[in-house]
Amino acid sequence: MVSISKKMCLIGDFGVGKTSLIRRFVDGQFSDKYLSTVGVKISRKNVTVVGQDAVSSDLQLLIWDLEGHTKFKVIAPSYLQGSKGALVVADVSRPETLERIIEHLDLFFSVSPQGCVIIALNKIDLIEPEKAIKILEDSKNIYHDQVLSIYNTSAKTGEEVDRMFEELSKNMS
Amino acid sequence: MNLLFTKMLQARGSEYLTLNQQGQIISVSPGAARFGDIPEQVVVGEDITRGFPELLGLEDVLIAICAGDLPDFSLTAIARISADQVALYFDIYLFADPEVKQPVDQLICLLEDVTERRALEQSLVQNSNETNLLVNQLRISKNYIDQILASMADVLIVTNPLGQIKTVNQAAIDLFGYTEAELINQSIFLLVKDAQIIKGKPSKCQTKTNKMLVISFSCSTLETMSEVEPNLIYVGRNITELQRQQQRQELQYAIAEILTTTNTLNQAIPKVLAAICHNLEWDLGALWMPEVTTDEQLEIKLVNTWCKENSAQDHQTQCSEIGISYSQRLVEEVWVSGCPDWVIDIENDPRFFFKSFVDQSHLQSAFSIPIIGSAVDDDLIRETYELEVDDEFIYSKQVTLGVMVFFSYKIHPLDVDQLKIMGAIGYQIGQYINRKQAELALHNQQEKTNKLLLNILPVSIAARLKEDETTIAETFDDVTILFADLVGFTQLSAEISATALVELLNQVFSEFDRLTEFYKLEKIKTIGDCYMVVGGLPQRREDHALAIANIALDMLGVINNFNARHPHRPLSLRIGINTGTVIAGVIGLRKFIYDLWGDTVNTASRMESQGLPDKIQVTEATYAHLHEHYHLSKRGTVAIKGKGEMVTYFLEAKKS
Ligand SMILES: Nc1nc2c(ncn2[C@@H]2O[C@H](COP(=O)(O)OP(=O)(O)OP(=O)(O)O)[C@@H](O)[C@H]2O)c(=O)[nH]1
Ligand SMILES: [Mg+2]
Repeated sequence: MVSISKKMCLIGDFGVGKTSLIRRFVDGQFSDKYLSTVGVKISRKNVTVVGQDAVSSDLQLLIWDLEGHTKFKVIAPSYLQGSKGALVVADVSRPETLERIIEHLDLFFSVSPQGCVIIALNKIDLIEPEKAIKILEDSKNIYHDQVLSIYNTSAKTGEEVDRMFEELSKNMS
Repeated sequence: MNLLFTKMLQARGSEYLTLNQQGQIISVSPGAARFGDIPEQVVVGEDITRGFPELLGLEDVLIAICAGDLPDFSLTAIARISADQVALYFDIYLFADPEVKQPVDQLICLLEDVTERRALEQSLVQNSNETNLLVNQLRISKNYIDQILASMADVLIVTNPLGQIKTVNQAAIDLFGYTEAELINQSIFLLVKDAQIIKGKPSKCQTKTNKMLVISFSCSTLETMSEVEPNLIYVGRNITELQRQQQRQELQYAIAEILTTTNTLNQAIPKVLAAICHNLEWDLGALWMPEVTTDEQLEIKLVNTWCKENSAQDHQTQCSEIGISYSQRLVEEVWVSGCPDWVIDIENDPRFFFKSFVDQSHLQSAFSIPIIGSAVDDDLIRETYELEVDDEFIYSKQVTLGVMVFFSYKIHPLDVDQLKIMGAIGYQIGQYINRKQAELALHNQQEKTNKLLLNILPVSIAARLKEDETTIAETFDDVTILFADLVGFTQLSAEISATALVELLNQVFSEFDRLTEFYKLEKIKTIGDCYMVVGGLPQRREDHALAIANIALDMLGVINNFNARHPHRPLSLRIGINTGTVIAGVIGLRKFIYDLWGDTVNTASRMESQGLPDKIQVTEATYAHLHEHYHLSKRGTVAIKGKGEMVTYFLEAKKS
């Protein structure tokens, strides 16, 4: 029985792939079908993290899949209460979702100033590798001092998904 | 908890839990467990976060509420998805018991089923988001298509069924020079100038700056949902350059063909002008060439014109012909400079200063090309022919042999390529003219040479000579040679003037020439006052001796007649004849002189020099041919130099 549980949230615009990233990480699956999330749904996943002291510890992750930000509805701050970490997700094929990363960061830090954040630039399978690299570089230039790291991910291919979740788990205290 | 409150909650169908400050469950309403993530954990005494992990991390919140620092806290729309994918949505509402004074150690956790509302919301959000994503996709693909269209090298034009332009790509904008706004909703026939476009054939098109282009279009229909009739998509490739190159090549072939198949410049020129006008789309063409005027000045004159046939434009054509003659200023300039010239707009060109010309002719553009060739004259040709002088030396001097000028009723912008091609054609024609001049000169020269040859050589020999039999020397076995000498002529020459003497000799010898021709004999030469004629040469004939006998008798007759007319100056003739073998041939390379050699010739000459005035002395050999038909008298033996004694006879008369 794992005794330590930790809460993390996935926030971002609608349709960027939050639910898909969780599904990929938790179940190792992916679906092309889109079912927009309403409210919040929690998934659990037990992970073993190796800390800086080389001691490994078991951890239960409570992963909050929040509804996406839309023109009509913003993310309720109460969902973020008590979350030590967040994944801010954007869709590289939709520039406006990249532009809104800053808003999501601000929202998260306003609730949890000490929390740690990773940015997931998702759906990189949809664009040219050169373009993906450029977007990653640009994002790093803007956000590098606010976030733990930034990943180019794909829920579809699974690229970087596990690594990203592991890094966030390790750094949430 | 207050009973009334409990009843009220039950009446609303709400479930609830009560917790202490640490999150331990104190009481549970009967239906509360179904909201739990793990329902079995939703029991009294258990930590709330076991059943409701959503509350993990909210320890501070619980304390704050108990302390009265925070009135309440809510989490809405928490989803529980069952194994069979059925969604349950509920809200959690945390607050302190309103009946109890704070601080307290008891919280109420209200659970409200909002599935129905949230399911409805879900489908609304789903719809809205999907539409949003779709629009985004559409925008991306439109961008993509726009990018393809923009980067397409081919021209793309979309029109509605009426031919109104709806879309153009960057290539079309660049090529035609209009802005997109200038094109949208205009007819496609603003750009395309013939109906060929519909048939998918190369079509003539016009840019904003009136440049003509040839574009090969492919046309297809574009079905859209919003319009009843399909739109038309034209994708066009600019083949102007390609076609121009082909056309120019054709023109050069055409010109080359004309020049090789026509014999004279006059035949070639109308065809050349026509070919150029057709191929390069000009309406009028003219050739001007320099001429020597009466006061020995060179002046450029109109030689030939060509007009595009168009009966409806008769009047115009007429005016244009006048117009061509007005182009003298331009033509003269080109003639002098030897450089081509292009006039885009005649109206504003000072060289066409006759206002009436511009007004009447409606001609718009013109260009003029010099015909460049070598300065060749007859002398050089002759030298080439005889001395084979190095060609380059003769042809090094280039001059303008003529000037071509072309006109159009349309504006033709300057076309450097066309000028280049035309320049080459100008050279081609120049060479043609040179060749024809050379041929003519050569022909004249040959004519002269022929006449000369015939004068001094037998016709058959002259023919053989012309056919370039360099050595002609032939032996004739049986010929009769006659020498006739005017006796005392040398003496006479002291008495009368040289011209009178030549005149006299001419008269006598002309008579002799007539006789030679009459008897079909061959005159070999005259040496001073001596006349030499031969029979049986170059055509062999049996009766050579008889023919010579006849001419000899007639020659004496000529002299008698002459003496009768000029009694104050009597002439007498001494004739010698011999028969035998001779060698005949031409000696000398520059001067062709047919001559005879051999002992027979020398003996004949001796017969004359040893003869008597008004007598015809013949050898035994000749006698043998004649005695049957002529009266001859034996002279006796005569001492002949280098021969010794010879029996000779005098020819008296023909036997009747
Ligand atoms: N090609 C590709 N498609 C993806 C990827 N991640 C998600 N998608 C697709 O994107 C659509 C939206 O994915 P979700 O995971 O539902 O997005 P979400 O962020 O949870 O959306 P909301 O719940 O509405 O905020 C789905 O059709 C997914 O199949 C990815 O990495 N690559
Ligand atoms: Mg989702």
